[in-house]
Amino acid sequence: MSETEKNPEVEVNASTLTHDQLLEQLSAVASDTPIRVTGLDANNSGVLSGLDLSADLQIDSAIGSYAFMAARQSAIVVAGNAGDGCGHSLQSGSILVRGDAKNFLAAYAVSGYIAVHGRAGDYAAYGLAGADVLIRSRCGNGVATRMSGGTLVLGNGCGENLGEGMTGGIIYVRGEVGSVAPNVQASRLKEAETIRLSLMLVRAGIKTTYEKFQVYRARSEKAIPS
Amino acid sequence: MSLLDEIVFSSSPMAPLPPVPKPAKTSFSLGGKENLRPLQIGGPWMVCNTSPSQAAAKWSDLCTRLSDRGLLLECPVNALEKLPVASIPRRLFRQSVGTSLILEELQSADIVEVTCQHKESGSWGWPPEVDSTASMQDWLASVRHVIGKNTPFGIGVKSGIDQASIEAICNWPIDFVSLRDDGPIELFVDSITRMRIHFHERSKDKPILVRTSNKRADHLLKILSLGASAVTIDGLLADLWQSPSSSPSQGGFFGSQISSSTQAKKTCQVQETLDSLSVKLQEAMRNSGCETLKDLTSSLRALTPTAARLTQIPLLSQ
Repeated sequence: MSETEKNPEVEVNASTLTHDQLLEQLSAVASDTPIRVTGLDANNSGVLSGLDLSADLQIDSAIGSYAFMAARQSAIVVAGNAGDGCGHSLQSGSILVRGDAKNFLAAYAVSGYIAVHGRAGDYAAYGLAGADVLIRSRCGNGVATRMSGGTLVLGNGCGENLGEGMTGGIIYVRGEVGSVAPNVQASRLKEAETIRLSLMLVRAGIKTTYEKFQVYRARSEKAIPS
Repeated sequence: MSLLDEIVFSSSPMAPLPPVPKPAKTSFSLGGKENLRPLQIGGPWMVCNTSPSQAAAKWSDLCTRLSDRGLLLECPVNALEKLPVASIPRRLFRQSVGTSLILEELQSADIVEVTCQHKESGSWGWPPEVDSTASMQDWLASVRHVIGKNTPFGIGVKSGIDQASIEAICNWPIDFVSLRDDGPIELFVDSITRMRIHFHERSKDKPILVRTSNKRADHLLKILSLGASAVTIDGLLADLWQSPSSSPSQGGFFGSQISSSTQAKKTCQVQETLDSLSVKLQEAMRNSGCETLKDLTSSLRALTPTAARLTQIPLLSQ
C-alpha cells in the first residue's frame, strides 16, 4: 500500500445491499480491478467481516464497528474514520484508515498490516497476535494489552498502562507514554530493528526517521542482539 | 446432586424393557424459528469434553457410533482427519472470547459455540472488546459473517447467569445457548429453568445445550426434563476410557495394536452406553406418551411435576 494508489475503475454502491450481496458483487469483479465502495457510513457495523478476496478496495466514507473482522487477502483503504474493533482477528492483507479509529483497533489480529493515519482510542492492538500495526497519531490507554506477537508502531505516544499482560511482540513508540505496565521494559533501538521499523513507516506512506523511537517489549522476551 | 435426586419421574407399572431402539435415521430439528438456523441433531446427547488422547484406541469407535446416530461431537478438526468419511460425526467447535478467531475451525464446523469463558484466565465475561448490549449485537453480527450464513451459532454461558443477561441473550440473533454446569447444583438447576421459562414466555424457544460432567443417566434425563435440548454424556463415557486397554502403550491414538477381542469388547461398551441411554429415553418417552424425538424437551418437561414445583417450570402439557 502506498500514497500513489491506482484509480478505482469499478464502483459498488453498498447503500441498498445486504452484507452477503455486497460480498457477491465484490467477488464478481475481476481480481486485478480496483474497486471503490460507496454508500457506507459510521452506522454500518461488521462491514466486510469475513471478507476473503484478493482485491484492492477503497471505501469512500467512515465505517462502523467490527469492520473487516477476520478478513483475508484484500488491500483496503478507508477514507474516513473507523469504529470499534476495526481489523479484529485480521488474517492477512492490509487495512489503511486515513481518519481516526475507535477502541480495540486490530484486536487479536493474527497477520497482515493495519495502519491508521489519525488517532486511535483505548486498547489498540489488544491481544495482538502477529500482525503489524501502525498508528501515526496519539493512542488512548491500555494499548497492547495482552499482546502476544507482532509489531506495533506508535507515531505520537499513548496513554496509560502500555503493554499490560503483554507476553510477546515488539512496540516502537515515538513521543510521550503516559505509563508503562510493570511487565514491560523499555530499551534502545537496535541496529537490526531499524529496517523493520523503516519498512513499516514506508508502507504507511509516512516519511520520518526512526531515531526518535523507543522500543518496548515484555520482560520475559529477550532483545534482538545488536 | 440432591436437587436432581428429588425429582421423580412419573412412576409406571413394571414393564419389560423396550427393545433397543435403532439409531435415528433422520435427524430432528431444534429451534430454527424467527429465521434462525435449526440444529440438526440425531438425539439429545452430545460429547464435548472427550479428547482423542483420552479415548485413545476407542476414538474412532466413538466417532463412528456418534456419526451413526447423528450426535454432536466437540473436537478440533484435525482429530477427525484420519477417519473414514462415514465415521465423521457432526462437529461442534467452541471458540473462546478474548482470543483470535480461528477461521479454519469456524468455517469447517457444523455448529459453532462462542463461549464466554476466557481461554487463558478461565474467567467468564462478555468479550473484552464489547462494552454494551448494542455493541454485542454488532459483534455477534460480525462473527456471523465470519462463520458463514448457514452454520448454527450460539453463545456459551455458565450457571448463575443473571436475568439481565438471559434477557439479552433471548434477543440476540443466535441460534442456541450453551449452559455450563459450573458450581452448586442449585445454581445450575435455577439457571437452566430460569432460562427456559424466559425463552418460553417470550415464545423464543432457543435450544439450550447443557455441558455437565454428571455421570448418572437418570440425572441426564432430568436435566433434559428441566428444559435442556441436549446434554453432554462425557461423564458416563469417562469410565470406559480408564480401562487399561485404552492406554497409549497398547495402541495409542488411532492405534491398531489392540487385540481384536478387546477391541470388540470396548466397542460394545461405547455402544452399550449409547443404547442404554436410548432405552432410558425411550422408556421416559413412552411413559409420557411421546412418540417421536421431535418434541422431546417439551414432553419430558411434562414428566416432572416435582421438578416443576421445585422450579416453577410452566408445564407444557397443561
